[in-house]
Amino acid sequence: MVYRSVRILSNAGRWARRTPVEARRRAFGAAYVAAVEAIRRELPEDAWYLLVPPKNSEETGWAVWLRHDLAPRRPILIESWAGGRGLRTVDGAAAPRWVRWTVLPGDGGAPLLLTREEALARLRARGGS
Amino acid sequence: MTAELLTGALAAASLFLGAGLGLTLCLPGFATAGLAGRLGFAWLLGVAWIGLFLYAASHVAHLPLDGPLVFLAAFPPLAAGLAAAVRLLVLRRWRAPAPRAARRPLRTLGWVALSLFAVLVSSAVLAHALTHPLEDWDGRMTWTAQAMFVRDAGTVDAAVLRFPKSFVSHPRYPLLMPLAQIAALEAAGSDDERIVRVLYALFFPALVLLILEAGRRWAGSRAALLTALALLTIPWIPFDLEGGAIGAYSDLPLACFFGGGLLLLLRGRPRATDGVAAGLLLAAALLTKNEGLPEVLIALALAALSAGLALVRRRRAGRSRALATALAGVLCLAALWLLVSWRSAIPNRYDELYFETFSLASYARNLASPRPFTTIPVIALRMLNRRLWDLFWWLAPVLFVAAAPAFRRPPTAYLAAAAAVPLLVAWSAYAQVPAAAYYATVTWDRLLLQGCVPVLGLFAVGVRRLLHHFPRARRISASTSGFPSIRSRWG
Repeated sequence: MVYRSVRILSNAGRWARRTPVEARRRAFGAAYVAAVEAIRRELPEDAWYLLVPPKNSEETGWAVWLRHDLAPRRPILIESWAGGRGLRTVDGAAAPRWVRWTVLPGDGGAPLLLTREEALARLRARGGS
Repeated sequence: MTAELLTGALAAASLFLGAGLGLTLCLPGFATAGLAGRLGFAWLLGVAWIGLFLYAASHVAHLPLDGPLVFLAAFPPLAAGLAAAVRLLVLRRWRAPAPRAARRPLRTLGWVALSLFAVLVSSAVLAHALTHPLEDWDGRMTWTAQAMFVRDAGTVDAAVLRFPKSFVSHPRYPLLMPLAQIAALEAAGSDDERIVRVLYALFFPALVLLILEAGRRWAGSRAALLTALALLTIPWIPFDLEGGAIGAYSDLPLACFFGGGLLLLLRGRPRATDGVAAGLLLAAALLTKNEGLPEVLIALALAALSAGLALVRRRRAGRSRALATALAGVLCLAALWLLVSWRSAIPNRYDELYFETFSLASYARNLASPRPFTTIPVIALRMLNRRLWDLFWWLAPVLFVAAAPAFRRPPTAYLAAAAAVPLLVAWSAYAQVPAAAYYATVTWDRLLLQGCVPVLGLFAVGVRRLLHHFPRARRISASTSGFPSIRSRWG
């Protein structure tokens, strides 16, 4: 425990020289952090948004981690967008019409902020279900 | 790391410690606690008081959750504590120092080693918290996300929690720790999540101090020292990201609240104010995690049993134990009402749905299923893994075999019953889920942590017995302990 504590202390000494943004880049990746910062600038804090997770979100925690990083912005999870029925929530109901923004995985998994229509067009172009 | 971050973290820590010290000065039961015990309880009572105050003020009185409300929460205990301190000074009623035993170099060396070790491990936890972003799963998924939603809404009844379509994991999980996060950030005047991490990190030294106090009361100061040293050798509790003090899980705060409340209620002759302090801690346990409810129930049941036995045997301690238990019970009932009332407007979703699918018949049927047995290899591998628990679970059974505490003597049987609760919770939970081995992998260590105060209390009683096997130790213990025997203390 002495060795482990000293190792953590010395590691903390290296991290102490980093700014909070640099530390987050180091922990979560530069592309992800830049994308999150861009969305935070664009989306007001009291806004609602539709969150479209990738297929492996349960394993990677993509949706829950992004929700944390965008909080207190309020998410509504989208479970499917297939069959021409538009964006559907967990219970199969249509996503509320008054929610204008959508966040979905862009290239390389970094989140992307689009309007609802743009998001739907992109998802259809990808042919996702 | 900047000066702004450090001053913010100091302001946040002072908020809880100041309020808690105020409470320990007001409540006369803490007059006999050592400095370590007083500091440990001060941290726990400070977090419990501020969290409970904010919860009730927001849900019941609909006051906005902001800086002034946090100040309002801290002011009464701070002012009352200050008045109590001045009164004690004026009346010159500071407790006269107990007659000191002759200094023994070996014993002094032991305390110095313990202090240095505790400072080193706690500093490592604190340094990690001050320099790294929050990276643990539950902290980001549940506790810190909830804190941000509630802080933005200015109320625990936030629309985002109540709106059935919003994506909030475990929206009905109790909010005491998220409220403590909000109080820390308001005190620091900051949004920096590293300040939140400091709040969780400081529960580790609080646990060490609590174990020292518990060991001292239940087994004497030498056994307490060795037990605290044993705690400091366990890597999982301070350093595991998914449940330890460097994460933002609620299991460590729950372990401290439950253990602290139990310690106060299992005193030989508790004062009424011990009942109030225990009630605050157990109410905080109830509002920290769902598992808090069975743990609080068993703590109250054990306290009631000890009071009942003392009353039947016509011992004088019976009345004081009954009064303390009743006061603690009233506070816990109020907390339960608050929890039920707050939850009633929140539709459950993104949760494991344990309660929605619960039926007594299926529960009883599943209890007899072989599923929990499939977890035994996972549990054994984790407990005996030196990277997680070092040698603790190798040594503890040996200690109990070599120096089994006498179960007929209090508080051994009570501690054993309290230590078993998280394990029973685990057993019954693993019996209900199909992937029991997976659940054991992600929950078992945290359930062990929740019961660590009674477990380490039992460990201390075993260490005390072991020390008494050695003639020299017995001689030293008899001449220096200054603590009445467990039997006489339980009268």
